[in-house]
Amino acid sequence: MSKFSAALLQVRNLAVHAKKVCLLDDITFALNPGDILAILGANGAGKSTLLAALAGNQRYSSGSIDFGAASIDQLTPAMLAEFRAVNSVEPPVSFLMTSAEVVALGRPFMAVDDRALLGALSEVHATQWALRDVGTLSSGEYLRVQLARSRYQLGDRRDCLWLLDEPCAHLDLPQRQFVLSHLHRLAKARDWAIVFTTHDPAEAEAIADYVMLMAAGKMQAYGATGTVLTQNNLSDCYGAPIVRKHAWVAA
Amino acid sequence: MRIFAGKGFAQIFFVMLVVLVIAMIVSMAFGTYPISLANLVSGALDATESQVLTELRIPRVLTACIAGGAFAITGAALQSMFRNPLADPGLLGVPAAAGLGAAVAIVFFANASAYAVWPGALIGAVCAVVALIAFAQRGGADSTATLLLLGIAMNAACGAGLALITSLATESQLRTLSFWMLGSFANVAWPVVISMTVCCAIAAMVLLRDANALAALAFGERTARTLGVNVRALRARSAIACAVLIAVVTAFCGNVAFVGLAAPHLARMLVGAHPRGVLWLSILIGALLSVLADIVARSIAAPAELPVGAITSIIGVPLLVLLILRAGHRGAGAPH
Repeated sequence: MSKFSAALLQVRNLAVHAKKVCLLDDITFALNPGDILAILGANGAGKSTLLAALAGNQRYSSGSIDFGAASIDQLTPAMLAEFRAVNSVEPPVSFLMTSAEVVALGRPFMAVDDRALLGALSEVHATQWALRDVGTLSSGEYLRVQLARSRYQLGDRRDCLWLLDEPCAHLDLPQRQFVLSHLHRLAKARDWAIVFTTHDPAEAEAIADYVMLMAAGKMQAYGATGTVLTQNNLSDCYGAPIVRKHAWVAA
Repeated sequence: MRIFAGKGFAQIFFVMLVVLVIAMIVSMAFGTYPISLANLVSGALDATESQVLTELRIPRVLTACIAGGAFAITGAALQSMFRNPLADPGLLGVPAAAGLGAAVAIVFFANASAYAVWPGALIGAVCAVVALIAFAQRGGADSTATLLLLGIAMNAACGAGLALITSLATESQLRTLSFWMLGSFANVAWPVVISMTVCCAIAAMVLLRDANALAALAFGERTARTLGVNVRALRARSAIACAVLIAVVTAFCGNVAFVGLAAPHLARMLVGAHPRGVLWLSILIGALLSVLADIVARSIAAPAELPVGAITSIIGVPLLVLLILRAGHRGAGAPH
């Protein structure tokens, strides 16, 4: 957080307005390579909007988003795609398409690199579906293929940014554990910064270095995971009492 | 392990090419003045036969190929752009709009040759594709119902426009108009064949170059953007390419119904989602369907000729119904 100018991602006073409704206001934070940030907040708090703005898919009305020295406005979709991957809700694929073909489209402008492709699939234990139509996969299985697509998109580059919108929604406990540790492993091994949204503080506690609590488009709290994730902060953020109890987890 | 080679794209492509060439040769033998296949293949033709061949048959077969191929690749591209396996140039009303544009050109600007007609057809087709995309983005055309309704609206609007213009036309304009609207693969002269080929080849190359980007639209526009696709530019480029293909073909030989729907589906069944492979194979299959339909159209009631569009519709309509029934459980709205 100290070397602001060298940060991989630097967001300053970001605001998003759509049809005169304020969706995001005064968001400021920075991430360095290898940092993992979890964003929590009630439904409609602006988590997905923030992620879309960082992805370059949502116009912002004021403030700035910088990657290193470059503003997001200076970068074309193709330039962004070289170091930034996004996983968010997608419409179902309406054509016959195998998992391998989905992953291959992670880099639509390059010849298929078979080894990297199979590597990306095997990292998420999805090699067995390589030639299966993705329409026949369950949502959890397809999610892993989508993760492989992002992994293939970024390849062996370091200092990348990976944005994920509720990556663990609809996953069973072991799957959730698997995806979280996969993200953690990649972030630390390749110096990728990861931003993900979630409704479960346990997911943040499991892998995030930093946590942002959002309410009504604003940052309620931001900081190191241990200091932000308190019963008081969470209760304030959701406007309802939230207490910590023992929970079932996949070990 | 090669990811795509398992599908044997190269082999399938080669086999299709051979089948197409055979169909083209057979097609050249058919007609009011039959030429024996043996003579055709050995090249032992008399003067009349070779004149019939070079001035009528070869241009006709080439026109059939280009028309079928153009509708097929346009269908494949539109399906990607609308993220809907039911998109077809005819269903969406693009040929109807091209027809309306051509009619406007004939009645208001020139009582002229096919060359004056096709700029009108092109403008009509471009307007149609641009309007369809604009509406589709608002209405979510990955829903089958929206897409079909858009097509119905477009076809109805163009039909109404055409009816109005027909009633305004003078007798000589009406003759040009009705002759043009009958459109077939017959009576297409060499210069037209060549200019069609050039226009369609350029437009098809634009689409082929974008094959992967178009395929990435399957994940939705936002995701395609995050993968590096400049979606706005891609849509504009592809819309113009599709409009050129349909306008050029419609201007000279009318609507080849349902080839744009059937060919990409057959191609996908054969090579899966291999993006460039689907487009190439669509062209071949579309050309083949069109040449076969042309043979049927000329031979069933010979010496009378049936309209080719009617023959392709007879093949296409059952396929369309099948696809609509299947779209119920795959495609729009179905969760993974």
